[in-house]
Parts: sequence; C-alpha cells; structure tokens
Amino acid sequence: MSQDPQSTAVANAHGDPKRMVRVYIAIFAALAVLTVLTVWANSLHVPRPAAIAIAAGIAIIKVCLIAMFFMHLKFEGKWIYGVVALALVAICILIFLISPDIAGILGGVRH
Amino acid sequence: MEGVAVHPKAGAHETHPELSFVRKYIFSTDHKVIGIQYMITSLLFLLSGFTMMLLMRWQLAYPGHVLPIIGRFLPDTMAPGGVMLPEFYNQLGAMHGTIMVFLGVVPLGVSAFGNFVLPLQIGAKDMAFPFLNMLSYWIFLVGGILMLSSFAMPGGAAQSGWTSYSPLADLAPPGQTMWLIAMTFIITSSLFGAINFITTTMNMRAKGMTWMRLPFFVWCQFVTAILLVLAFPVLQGGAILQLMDRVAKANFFIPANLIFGGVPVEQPGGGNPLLWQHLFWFLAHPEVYVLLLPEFGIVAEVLANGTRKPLFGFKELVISLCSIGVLSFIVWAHHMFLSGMRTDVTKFFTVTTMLISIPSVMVLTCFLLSLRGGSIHFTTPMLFAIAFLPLFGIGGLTGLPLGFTPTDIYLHDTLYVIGHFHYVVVTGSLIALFAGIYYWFPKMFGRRMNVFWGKVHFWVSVIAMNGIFFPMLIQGMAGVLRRQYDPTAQVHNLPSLGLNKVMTWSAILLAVAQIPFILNFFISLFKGEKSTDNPWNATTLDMAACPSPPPHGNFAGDLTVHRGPYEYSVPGHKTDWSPQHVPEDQLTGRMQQQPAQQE
Amino acid sequence: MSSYSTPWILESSDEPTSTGVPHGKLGMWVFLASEVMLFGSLISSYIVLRLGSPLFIVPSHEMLSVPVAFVNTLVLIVSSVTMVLALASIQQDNPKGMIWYLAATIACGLIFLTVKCWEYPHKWHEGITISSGLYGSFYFTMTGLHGIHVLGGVLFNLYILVRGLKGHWSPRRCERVEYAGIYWHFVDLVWVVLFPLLYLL
Repeated sequence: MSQDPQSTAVANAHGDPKRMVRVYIAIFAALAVLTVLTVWANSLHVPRPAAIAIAAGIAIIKVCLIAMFFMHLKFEGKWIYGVVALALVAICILIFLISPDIAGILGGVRH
Repeated sequence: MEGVAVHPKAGAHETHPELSFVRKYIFSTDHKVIGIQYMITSLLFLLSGFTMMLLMRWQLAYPGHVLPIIGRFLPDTMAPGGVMLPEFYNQLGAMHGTIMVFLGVVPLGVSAFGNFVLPLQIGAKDMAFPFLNMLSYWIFLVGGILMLSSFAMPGGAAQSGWTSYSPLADLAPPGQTMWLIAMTFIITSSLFGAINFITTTMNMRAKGMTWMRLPFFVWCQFVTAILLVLAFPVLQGGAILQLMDRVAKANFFIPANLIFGGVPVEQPGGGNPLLWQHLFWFLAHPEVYVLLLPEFGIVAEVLANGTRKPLFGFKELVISLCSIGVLSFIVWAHHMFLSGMRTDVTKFFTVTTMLISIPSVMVLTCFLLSLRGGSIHFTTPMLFAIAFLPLFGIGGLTGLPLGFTPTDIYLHDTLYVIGHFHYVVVTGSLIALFAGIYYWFPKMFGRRMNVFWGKVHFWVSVIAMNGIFFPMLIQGMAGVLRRQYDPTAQVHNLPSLGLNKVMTWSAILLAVAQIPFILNFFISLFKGEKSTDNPWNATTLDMAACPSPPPHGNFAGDLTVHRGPYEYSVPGHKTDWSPQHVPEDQLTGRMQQQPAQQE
Repeated sequence: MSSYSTPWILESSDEPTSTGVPHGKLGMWVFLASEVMLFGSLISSYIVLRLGSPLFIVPSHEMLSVPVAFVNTLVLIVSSVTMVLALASIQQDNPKGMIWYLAATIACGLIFLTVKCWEYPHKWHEGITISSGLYGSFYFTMTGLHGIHVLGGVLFNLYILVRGLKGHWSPRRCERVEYAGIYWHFVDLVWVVLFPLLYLL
C-alpha cells in the first residue's frame, strides 16, 4: 500500500521543537515528582494491596509519559502503534496465563 | 522499464561497482547471496542432525551392537569399542532435536528462502538493513559451530533433550552451558533476521503492491517474523535464568530440598521447574508454526504455479494464517498436560488447541481445493507440494489426540508424539522445503536441476519417510516411551520391537535417497540445462520480473504492480500466466507467446 | 541506494517507504518489541515466583539501600531528558547544544553504572548474593541485564557523539539521533518498572 511518501527528515514531524522543549521539561518535572511520590508512599506502610496498587499505578503513569513524549509515540502513526500493541498483547498473554498456574500451585503448598 | 520487456535485463546496474570476491560471496550484504549461504549451511546442519539420528536408530534396532563404519572412530567417552553409551545416546537425542529445529529447518525455511525470495517477490532491491542481514548469518554460523563443538566439552554435549527441562538441565554436565550460549547466538541471529523481514515487507513493497497483492509466501514469512520477534526473546529470558542457575548457582528453577543423584543440592532453592517449561514452550509452540508457515508459503507458490490457476480462497488463506499466528501464542501449555499444571489451566489450553486446528484445516482445505479443475503439471516441485497435502494432513490429525487431556495422558512421551511431530516437520516442512529448492534452484543459479533424478529423490524419500514414522505411531500406541536408550528394557516394548528394524532400515534408505539429491544439486550447479528468466512461467515478481540469477539490485528500474499474485489462465490474455508487473494492454494484445518451459 | 555502500546497522535509504515510516524507526520499534518480551519474561517470572514461592524472602529496606536506588532513578530520568533535549537541539540546528546534552546523557549513564558497581559489593556485604535466595537471584540477573543494556546505550550514544563532533548531524539528517534516543528512553523505562519491583514492594 503506497501511501503518500514522506521524506525521512523526521525533524519536523513532531511539531515545533522550541515548543517541545517546554513540554520535555514539564514531563521531566512530572517524572521526578512521581518518583519522589512513589518512594514517599512506600514509607507510609499502607496495607499491602494498596501499596502494590500505588506503586504499579505510578510506574504505569511514568512509563506512559516516557513512551508518549520522550519516545514520541504520541506523534507516531498506526504502524508503530501496531508494533507496540502486538508486544503488549503478547506479554499480557504470558503473564496472565502462567500466573494462575505457578502462583496457584506454590501458594497451595504454603497452606 | 523500457518498451514491452517482460524480463528487464541487467544493464541499469553500473551504479554498483564490482566488489571483491570476499565482499561479493563471503561477507556479502546482498540478500540473495545471504539466502544461498543460509541454504547451504542449513542443509549441512540437516545432514549432521540426520547422521546423529541414524546412530540412534542403529542403537534402537540393534541394542548393544557395534555401530557400523563410524563406531571405530568414536572416542571411549562416547562409544567404547564402538558400542554406544547411554550418555552418548542422550547427547545425540538432544542435539538431533536442537540442530534439526534451530539450525536446520527454521534457517532453511525462514532465513534461506525468506532472504532469497521475499525481497524479490515484493519488488525490493534488497532487505531494509543489508548489513544487519549479513551479521545475522555470521552470528547464526557461530552459534551453529558452538552447538556442534559442544560434543568436545567435558561430559559431552547437552543431554537434557532439546527442551532442556530444569532442574535436570540446571545440574547437567557443562555441555548444557554451551547449549545455552549457542542458543543465545541463534536467538540473536533470528531476531536480526526477523526485524529485517518485518521492516522489508512493510516498507519496501513496489509501487502498487498492496497487502492483498502480496504473494502468500510473503504473508507467511511476515507472520513468521512476527512470531519470532515476540516468542524468541522469552526463551532468551528463560535461557538467561537457566544460565544463571548453572554458572552462578541462582535459584530460579531449583525447588527447595532438591536431591540430585542422592546428594542434597546445597542451595536454598524455592524456584519452580514449571516456570522453565512455561518459558520454553511459550517460545516453542510458536516455533512449531515457525517451522511450518514458511513451508505453507512455498506449497502455495508451487501449487498455484503447477495447477495454472489462482489459489482457492486467497483471502481466506490470509485470514487463517493470521489466526494461526494469534492463536499460536495461547496454546503452548498443551505440551505440559502431565507436568502437574492446574487442571482448570489444562482445560483452557485444550480448548485453544482445538481452536487452532480450525485455521490449519482451512489452509489445507484451500490448498486441496486449489487442485480442483487445474491442469496439473507434475513437475518435481509440484510432486513434493502435492505429497505435502496428505502427509501433512496425517501429521496434523495425529496431533488432535495429543491436544485432548484424557488421550494425552496415555500418549504423552510415547513414540506416538515423535511420530506425530515428525509427520508434521519431515513429511510436512521438509518435503515442502525440497519443493522450494527444486522450484527456486533455476532462479538462484540460472540452471535447472535434473528431472529424472529429482523424481527418484521424491519417490524414494516419501516411501522411506513413511517407513520411519508410521511404525512410530503404532509403537507409541503400544506404549513404547521416547528417549529410551535400551528398547528391550521393558516387557511391554517387546511385541513391537521388530518395527525398530523397519524404521532403521527405512532411515538408511532415506539417507541413500539423498545421494541423488546431493549429486543432482552440485552437478546441476555447473552442468545443468540453462534456465530461462522465468523458468516456471510464473506470475510473481521473483520469477517474472528479473533475470535468473538476478543481478545485484535485482530489478532494472522501478516496478509497478498491476494485479494480484496468482493470475493464471486469465481469459483474454495471450499467455496462461499474467505477471504482476505487466500492464493489462501488453497481456491482451501485443505480447509475443513464449514457448512453454514446462517439463 | 545508499545501503550498498554504507555498512552501518541502522543505515536507511532516503527513498520513500511504503508505510511512510522510515526503515530505521520501524526496525528500532520492532527491536524494542522484542526487548519488551525479553524483560517481560523476566518480570513475569519475578511476579509469579514472588506471589507463589514461600521461599521468596525480600530483604528489609535498609539492606536494599533504597535512597541510593532513588538517586540512581533520578539520574536516569535526567539522562532521558538530556537525550531528548539533544534531539531538540539538533532539530533547531544547534549542533553544539546537541553535543553538550549528549555528553551529559553519557555522563549520567556512566554515573548510573558506577553507582551499580558500588551497590553490588554492598549487597554482597549484606549477605544478598545471586545464590542466597530467590530475591538475590532476581535482583542480580535483572539489574545485570539492565546494566548491559545501559552499557549498550552508552556506546550507541558515544557513536552519535563522535559523529556529532565531526559535524555529521543536521536538522535534515538526524534520524539516528532519534533512534539512539528511543533506545535510551526504553532503557530508562525498564528501570522505572524495575525500581519499584525490586526495591519498594
């Protein structure tokens, strides 16, 4: 499918670089704050499920920020999203299908 | 493209300066040279893996007898006095599986044919990353040599089977470490190859080559490459964990209180051997489809060409192919029904296994229906492609009882399993690969292979293959277990013991049948009948749009694709093949009828 | 086609591609998809054994030196932002700025590795080794594999830097700066997941 050919000069694909610098700094500030937040939340000794949820939630937000803005995923087209989606689906399959098995069996031994 | 030339000749290639011999044939970045390098190398590995199998088969037919010819040359650590040791048998078994899967069939189907044919079929001048492509071959070669050289390790090569189950593999002699290191090289090599294939297929299609105009072979290679990219790193992860277990005494797969050889293992443990099986089979079931999908592609090309009509249900084929690709990621644990996995998990995997048989049957049905109403040309590649259909059918259908938990409990780890997957991989994949070699040989080297010896090779091979694998199904149903050094050790093996001699002599016959093939290959290379540019009067760009062999850069000028891949016998066209890149008006009116090239 | 003469791994031609995405960028993302699976397999192994194995004993926060890891996380985040600023600089035709930002990125990568080199013996001193238990096995394998990726990223960035010093990059020709950045951010991203997994929970 030959779509409209685009020059490989990727420089201008992401909007005005000057404006982007401000965005990058803002993302950096957000990442730093979230890192502080996750360490601070961990020192509060909240109940374990809540602690896991907080840590995982913050990590996911950070991952999304890095991927979307630093890796420019936000400015990519459907093909790159397709590649990323394939990997995410495959890794979810792995983790969801082995955890009931292994975690279940060993958990049973403990009781 | 100038005038009405259907086969643009070389001539627009003066931009590429003549390269030195080393850059042109050894450290070449040309996809065609790399493809041929892969082909020769993987055929050699296939031969070495086959030799290992012959040694094992001799032991099974004549347990405790001296190995003929080769026995005298083996050191005492393998076969004292020419009689095979059990440890050596285990090494041969593990290495036979590893070499055939990772160094033989997959490189031949994916890397050799993929590299040579895929860029030609999509109308590209080369792969997207030619240097990475060259690197992929050399890393593969290093991995293969490391794998073979592990026989020289103290304690011999890996002997835990090609599946390398922990914790046995964690505590096995050093050959296993070499296996893991060699696998790392092989995984890296296929990763580089797969990145190249995906990028090339997506990005380098000629003008007008839409997704649904891609030949089925390209579709197969594309889906295979996606499977490789997503599945192989998981085995890499597992291999890293097992390597750490072995060299640094980590605890990933070592359970608590493990006693090995009567001695307690001095590690806290706490790991889980099942985890290795999950990580391994998460790769290895998609790997089964990596073994198979490129061969589907080869069969499709040859069938359409040999029947002189379009493939039946091209769109359905592509849909089935993609469904196989997706489903292959959620069936892996049907290899583990007897591993102590939870029963509700086994239920899930039984269902998905039954589901994946549907698209596989759809592919086979489309191939069968493609034959209907065609004017079949029984050329050598066509013979192999037709034989693929029923024989692969046996392989597929014998797999169903293994996918159901109740029957699998009986059949698991018997020779039935071996019979089943050898029907898939040998009479399925390997036969299709032979079809591919005969089909693309004229394109690769500009000369045709001998027809008579090709047919001798075909008939003897097919009979010999069935002679090896069909008795395995019977022995398996009689309860004979796999991976056994001494077949006389158990009473229930004795009634079917005679079949071992049938299988062994069939295997020797199969070895003999390869002699005409090897001679035919090398003699045709230099003395074969000169091939025309389109040796099979095919429609796809690899055959129709470039000379044989194609020059560096493949095509003179840019191609424009006008139609789908299998436009054979189109009413109103002068010839019974309508190449993808020729405009409609040239096919209906002015083009000269070419003399038929069929044998 | 330029790819015949230039033997570089990520060489891409200037010809338009069928999808409109440059070869190098598509190849890099496919490679990262495989990296997701590699780290994903280790992380899922960690999660299932952590949930399932009664012998998975997590050492106390004091033994794990969380503040050091916290600082290291910040170092990697800083390196990520300098990397992306390097790209923004060259896009604005400011090669000098790109070189300084790249140098800062490489320095941060090296600081990260140096801190790891301090942390490992510290862990051994605390009795956490790769064979002492499941936690140690996972800690050293995962951070070790990540460390190798950091080293690879530093080398990739060094290559970009050396070429930058020779004036190779320009706003029209800076794809590989971007690809190096994508890889480097991925390495950072993996650490963002490993940090709470190994140190906090």
